[in-house]
Amino acid sequence: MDNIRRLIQLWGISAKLDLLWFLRDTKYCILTILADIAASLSSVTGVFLLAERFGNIGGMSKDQVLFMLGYASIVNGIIALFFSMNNTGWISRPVGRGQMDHKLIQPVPLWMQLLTEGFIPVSGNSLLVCGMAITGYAAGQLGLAPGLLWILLFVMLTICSVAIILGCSYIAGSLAFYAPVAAEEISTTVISLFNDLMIFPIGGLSAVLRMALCTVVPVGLAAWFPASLLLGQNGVPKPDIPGVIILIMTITVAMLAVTSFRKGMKYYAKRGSTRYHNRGHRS
Amino acid sequence: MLNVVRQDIITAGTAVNAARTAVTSAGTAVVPVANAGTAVNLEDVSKVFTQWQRSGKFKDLLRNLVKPEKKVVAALDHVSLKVNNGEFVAYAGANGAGKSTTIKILSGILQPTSGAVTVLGMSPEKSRVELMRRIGVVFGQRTELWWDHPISVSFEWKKTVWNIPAEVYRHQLEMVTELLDLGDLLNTFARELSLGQRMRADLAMMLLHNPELIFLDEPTLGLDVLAKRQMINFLKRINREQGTTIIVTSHDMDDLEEMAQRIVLLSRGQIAFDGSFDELRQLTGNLCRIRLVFQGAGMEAGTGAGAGLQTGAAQSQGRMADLMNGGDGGRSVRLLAANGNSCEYEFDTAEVPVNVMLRQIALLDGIVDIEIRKAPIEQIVAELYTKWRG
Repeated sequence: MDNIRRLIQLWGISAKLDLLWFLRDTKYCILTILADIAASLSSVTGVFLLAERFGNIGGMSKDQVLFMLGYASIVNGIIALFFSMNNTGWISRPVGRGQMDHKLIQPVPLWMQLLTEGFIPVSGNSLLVCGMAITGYAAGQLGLAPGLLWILLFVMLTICSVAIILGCSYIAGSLAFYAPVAAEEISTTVISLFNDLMIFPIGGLSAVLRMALCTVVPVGLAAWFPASLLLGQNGVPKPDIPGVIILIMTITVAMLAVTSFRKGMKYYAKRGSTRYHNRGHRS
Repeated sequence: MLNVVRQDIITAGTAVNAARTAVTSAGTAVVPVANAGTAVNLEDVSKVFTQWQRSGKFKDLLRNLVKPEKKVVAALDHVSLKVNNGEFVAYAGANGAGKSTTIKILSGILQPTSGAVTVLGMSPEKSRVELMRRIGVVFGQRTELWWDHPISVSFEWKKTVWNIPAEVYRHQLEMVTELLDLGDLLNTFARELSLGQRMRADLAMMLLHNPELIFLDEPTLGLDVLAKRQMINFLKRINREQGTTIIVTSHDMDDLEEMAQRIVLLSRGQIAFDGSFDELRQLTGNLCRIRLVFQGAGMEAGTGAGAGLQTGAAQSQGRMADLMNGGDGGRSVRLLAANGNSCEYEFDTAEVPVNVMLRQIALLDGIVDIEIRKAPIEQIVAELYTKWRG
């Protein structure tokens, strides 16, 4: 209970910092929000136009593709909303820049800091709002009538997708403990990989490739697979991979992330960091 | 009057201690009790770093890849150190001596390779979260302030993250705002502060939870004379009036001497000296400096401008030469500089007592001013560093 109270307090102060930025630097904050909206729309427009042109990609209709793109935007929007400040989602940056010292001198468990200090509900909400709008529109076009179970499944799958992307970012990002200069941007590369590939419906690929993209490089679990499951609940064909795979992969990736990050922190406590960059607002 | 002032200080100290209790009890229920009187205890602590040695030659490509050459560097080599509550300790040493490594170990950022570390009765490694509620750390070349916010916002952030009770926060904020002269800066963005202002703000923020023990790593680095003075006075005051234990590292020996009562000197990862500054001076002899200023033109009637100086300086040098060459029992006096109408000498009071020196000087003509002072601590330490390096 104490932990929940502390989490809410810490999310609250992060939200306050973000709100104050909006109130003081309104012009720049609005520009940032608009830029984020433009970037998010442009990232999904290409695939949508392909679906519009050909009517069907990877076994999905135009509206189903749009639903999947909306889901992808929601997943990315949650990451942007909760894990942007201080690069908590892009963990190789603070690690590689020697900024973990700032976290270690706070009287807060590290997991709690990483979970709360990236929260930017004002300047970081645009992608999530866009994603919700796109998903809502697509659901309307598809005639979906979501019940409570479907909504719960949607929330659970979204959490799994977010956890898989962040988990991969942390697994790769832990390399920055050992090679701070070379691996400083490796989390950015991993998240970009997801951003670039998760927007494609991969239903048209071979079964082996589909399985690989849902396990070895789990970009398929970030949007296509969960969107297919959700659409399958409403009479759209399900993917031929068992639905439980997303849970198994989420647990596996999360465990690997926690293990590699902990191991990295032990190495950090042994070696420290030989470089340091000042922290910045949106560095 | 003195008693009244003393009483004020005691009252203030009591209030602060009560506030401190409030801070610790605001955290988890169990607060480990510090060893009686001991704030910091290092027992036989060593810290070893491994540096990979890679050449830039083709022939070494495979070796660099598979098994690069290792160089083991001992940052701390079996260091044992005890700091009592309320002490103000200077922790000094040449570059790479292990100062920052020690501060990081004490703060729980780094773990020692071997040995035991206790800070306020706790292990920094095992009780990091609890310990951070009770200590404060400032790294001079870094800032904990939020760059794109006024410093008052950073203070509020600290209040929440450290879970500081409102009463303690209000009390500490008032104190640091007044003593560090932050009133006009509270609404200034951290990015717009000068280095001195930023350091003051960082120091203030560090003190908001009223820590019992403070680690300061190079806090005066890059500060101008005024900012340095403000910081030194402030630190001395909180140590004196609140009994806050302070461990400070710096390269500036004069600053350290002014602040601290005790100095620990590190050399090659080992404690080479631990004692008072006076004891440190005795290591290289009780060196003192004496500056003699002579009358200028006209001291010797009718000999023209500058002649008097030459005569006075010549007399001075002759008399001092006597001292140096055994004229007075083989004692040594060294000429450091002769500029304009003044000469500066260095002597060891163990070899040439001050009264003997003054007797010699009294025999000189044309002296208008005498200044005797201890040799700068920088010089003492530089001599020691050179000696230790062999």
